[in-house]
Amino acid sequence: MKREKEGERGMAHGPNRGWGVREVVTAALLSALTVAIMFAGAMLTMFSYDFAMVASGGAGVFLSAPVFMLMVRRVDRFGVTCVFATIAALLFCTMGNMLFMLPFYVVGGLLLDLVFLRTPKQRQSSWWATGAWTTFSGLYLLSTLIPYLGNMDAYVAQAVAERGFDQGYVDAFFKYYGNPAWIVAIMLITMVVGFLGCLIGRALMKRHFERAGAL
Amino acid sequence: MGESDARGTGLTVATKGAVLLLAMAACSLNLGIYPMLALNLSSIVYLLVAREPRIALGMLAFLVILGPLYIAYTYWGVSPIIISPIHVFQMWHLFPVMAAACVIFMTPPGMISAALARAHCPRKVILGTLVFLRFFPTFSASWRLLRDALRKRGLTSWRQMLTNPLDSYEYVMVPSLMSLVSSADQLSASAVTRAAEAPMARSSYYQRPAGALDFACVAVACVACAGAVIANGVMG
Repeated sequence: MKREKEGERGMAHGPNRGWGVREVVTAALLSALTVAIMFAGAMLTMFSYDFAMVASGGAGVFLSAPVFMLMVRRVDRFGVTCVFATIAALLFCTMGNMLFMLPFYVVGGLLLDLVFLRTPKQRQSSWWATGAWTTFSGLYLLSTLIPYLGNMDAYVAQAVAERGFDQGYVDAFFKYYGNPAWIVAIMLITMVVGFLGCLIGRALMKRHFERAGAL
Repeated sequence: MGESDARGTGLTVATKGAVLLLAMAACSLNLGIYPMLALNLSSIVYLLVAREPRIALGMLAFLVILGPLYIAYTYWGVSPIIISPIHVFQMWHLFPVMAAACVIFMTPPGMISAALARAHCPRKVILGTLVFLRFFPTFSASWRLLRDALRKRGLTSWRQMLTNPLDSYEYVMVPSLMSLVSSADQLSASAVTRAAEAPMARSSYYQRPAGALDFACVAVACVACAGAVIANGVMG
C-alpha cells in the first residue's frame, strides 16, 4: 500500500520537477497564511513591552511552523523558502518595514533552500524542514535589527520623536536590544520556539495530513 | 467588486499600482499628525474615485475610531488599554496604504492579469499574484465557517482555549490548512482549465489604455503625497 502510494507520488511529480500551476498556487496561498499567522502571533505578545521584546518573534514562528512544513512537503520544489521569504518581505514592506530588507530575505531564503531543501528527499524529510525553519527563525529575528544597525540611539530618538513611542518602550528596547547578550538569548529563544513549533507541525503532519492523503 | 471595474471603465491597474507605491513612499516617512490626517482623508476620497463606496464608508468609520485613539495614546499620554500603541501607530501611518491595497484587492483578476501580461511579467508571477490576491477572501470565507463550527461545539470559550491551548491550536489549524490545501487544488484546476499553462501570449477584454481620470488620479496623488511631505517639513 505504502509502495503503491509512493509510486503514485512519483508518477505525479517524477517527470517534471519544475514549478507548475499547482506548486505556484499552493506556495502563494500557504506563504500568505504563514505571514498572516506570524503577524497575528506577534500581536498576541503586545500587551507588555518586555514580553513583546522577547517573545514577539518567537510567538510568530511557533504558530506558523506547521504551515511552513506543510508547504515544503506539498510544494516539493527547489526555491520554496525563497518564494515564501520574498512574499513575506513584500508584505512586511507594505506594513512599514524598510525596502532595503528585501534582498536580505531573498538571499536568506535561497541559502536556506540550498542548504536544507535542495533535493526532493530533503524536502520530504520533516527534519530538514525543521532545520530550515529553525534557522529561518533565528535569521528572522536578526532581520528585525537591520534598521537599527547604523545608529541605534539616533533611530530610537527618531522613533520617539516621530512615532510617539513612550519612555516605557524606549527603556524596554534598550534593555533587550542594547545588550548583545540579550540579543543572542532572544535569538536562541526564537530558534528553540521555532523548533518546538516544527515538532508540533511534524505531529500534525503524521496525525492528520498524511492520513488524509494531503501529502 | 466595483461595478465599473467589471465593465472596464474604472481606474486602470497601473494607476492603482502607482497610487499604492506613492502611498507606501509617503507613509514610510513617518509624517506628523496633520499631514498624515490629510493623507488619510485623501485616501477616503481615492476610494470614492475608485468607485468603492462601501469600503470608503467602512474605512471612514475605522478612521473615526483610530484617530482619537492615536491622539489619546500619542499626545495625551493615555495608558494602553487593549490595543498596543505600536499597532495604533502602525494602523494610523499605514491607513493610506491599506486603502490603496483594498482598491487593488477588489479589482477583478482579469484586469490584473491583463495589466501584468502587458508589462511582460512571467506567467507564473502573474498566477502567483492573482492567487495571492485571492487568499484573503478565500481564507476569510473558510474562517467564518470554521468559527461557526467551533462555536457550535463549544470550543471557542476562553476557558477551553486557556486550559487546552494545544488542542485549540490543532482544532483551528488543521481544518484551516485542509481547507486552504483544497482551495489551492481547486484554484490550480481552474487555472489549468483556463489555459494558464498554454504557451501563447494572453490577451484580455479588459485591456484598455489609461484615460483622463487615470492621469488626473496619479497627478492628484503625487501632489497630495508631495504636499504632505513638504507640510511635514514646514511644521517640523
